[in-house]
Amino acid sequence: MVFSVKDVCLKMDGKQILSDINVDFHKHKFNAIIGPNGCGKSSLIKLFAKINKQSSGKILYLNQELEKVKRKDFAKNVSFFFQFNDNTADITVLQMVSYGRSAHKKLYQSLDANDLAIIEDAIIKCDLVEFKNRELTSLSGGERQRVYLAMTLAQEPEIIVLDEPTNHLDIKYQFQLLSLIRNIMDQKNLTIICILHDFNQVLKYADYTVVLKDGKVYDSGITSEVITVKSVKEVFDIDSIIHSDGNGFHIDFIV
Amino acid sequence: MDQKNYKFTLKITIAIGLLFLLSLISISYGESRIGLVPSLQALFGIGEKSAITIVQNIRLPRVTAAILAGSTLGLSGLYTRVALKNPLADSSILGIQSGASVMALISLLVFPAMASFLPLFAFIGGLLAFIIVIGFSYQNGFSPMRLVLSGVAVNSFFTAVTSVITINHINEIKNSVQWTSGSLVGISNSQSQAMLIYSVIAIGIAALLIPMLELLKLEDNMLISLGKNPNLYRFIASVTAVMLASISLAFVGVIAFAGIIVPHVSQMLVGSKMKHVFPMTVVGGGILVVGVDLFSRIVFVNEIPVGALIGVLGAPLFLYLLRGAKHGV
Repeated sequence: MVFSVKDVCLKMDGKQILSDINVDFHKHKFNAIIGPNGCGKSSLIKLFAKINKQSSGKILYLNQELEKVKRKDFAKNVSFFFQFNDNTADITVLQMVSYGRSAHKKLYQSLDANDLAIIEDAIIKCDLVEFKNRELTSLSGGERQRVYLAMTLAQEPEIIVLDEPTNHLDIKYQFQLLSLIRNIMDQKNLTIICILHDFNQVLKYADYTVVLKDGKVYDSGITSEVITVKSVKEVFDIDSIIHSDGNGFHIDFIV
Repeated sequence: MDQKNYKFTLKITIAIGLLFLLSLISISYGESRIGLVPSLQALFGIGEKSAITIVQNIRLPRVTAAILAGSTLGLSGLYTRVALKNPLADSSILGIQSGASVMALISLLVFPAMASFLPLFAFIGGLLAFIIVIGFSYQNGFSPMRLVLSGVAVNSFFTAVTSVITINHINEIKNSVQWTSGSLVGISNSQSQAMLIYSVIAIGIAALLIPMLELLKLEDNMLISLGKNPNLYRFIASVTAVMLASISLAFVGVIAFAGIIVPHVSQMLVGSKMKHVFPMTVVGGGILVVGVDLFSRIVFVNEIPVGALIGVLGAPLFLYLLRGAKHGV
């Protein structure tokens, strides 16, 4: 397990956001988190980043208490891909991707040949070679997401935690980005924890899935066992049909 | 890349040249006019004795103080702007300068013998005011408007306290009236030298923080993902900004809006990369204060404090930026 969440509750401004969360995230797997809006998905992964702090319960990161793990050591293994909407001017793609290396560097340490090779590799993997010297502000939403992903890869994490990376992307780029993430995961034997809101994407890419409802874990486990007609009806209040063919499962909604 | 660096080098060279030229004109201009060349010679102790005395003991200290005030205030504005992600964040708006004046005045009254430590007292006062403003405006982040409004309130409070102290102790602290409107009159050689030492140290410290400031421009969540602590960076940058503003305040008094004008124009000229905008702000701050001081001496018969004139220039820019700021208190 990369993260084990034990009896975690989270209150913010007097509001109960998460209650009695008990869930594990599996190593070297694609772990999806899905649930209706406001169910506490982002709040949960912000606990991993220590942006939020649980009111009770504990989180284990590789069997040690997360609170005791140093911020710097943590960043060498775990990278977060939040919903960035960076408008910083005068930053080129190359620079932005290079920032990924700063997780491994002291403030005044400059990049060496090894770093440059890693950055170059991340740029190639995310298909950004032609954009390398372009300014970030001149790119489209989908291109920018790829830059953030390249930055994340340059950080060389073993675990990547993503908060709806497909948000605001055209459908073609949604699948492109997720396929890219999945390929890199398989190649480099990474662990992915990813909030998604599309069932077909979850069925296509995720090995394990956590379903959240009203700040609680509705169910968790192997994706095809968790995403069922029954669970979709109970959590999202919509009827559906789930088909299975040689390529896996996909879902149709009955409206 | 090379093209950009070339452009920057060109611009900074022109700026340095302009600053040098303005400073030289400023040194040569006054009740007794000394030509540009004799002024330059007098700086090195060559030429008429009277000219050397005037240049070295009266005019050079004034120009030095003007350059340093502009550089420190400009940098202070640049650092608060980046740290608080708010182009309206200036040491005057945030109450730093008025808080610093109160402490500086108190220190003059209570410990008159420790006048050379004035910037340190000012620093404490500025920090106090800044902490109060931040304390009142923080609520899940800083809204630009809430920050400015808290600053205005705290600024008014400390300005009022300054007036009370000044009026009650007018004989003990003769220079305090000039102080409240930022004046370069009567800066002595020893004062300008002390200011130079303080400024070089503070600007040096600020320069060491350039990589930190560059990272601070990124989103907080991104920094956290990279294992950095954005609030710690923000704290360090802010304390540095208060330190820079306190130096200017301790020697020449309140100059509002310089911390908005200088970084804003510098960024327009050379872009927002810290390694470019930092030197441009240092030089640009000097140009602004030396230029305004020279202008005021040429145009007005009665000397107008430089702080007042910069306020006249800065207020419209402030209002313009306010219109563009994100709304919501």
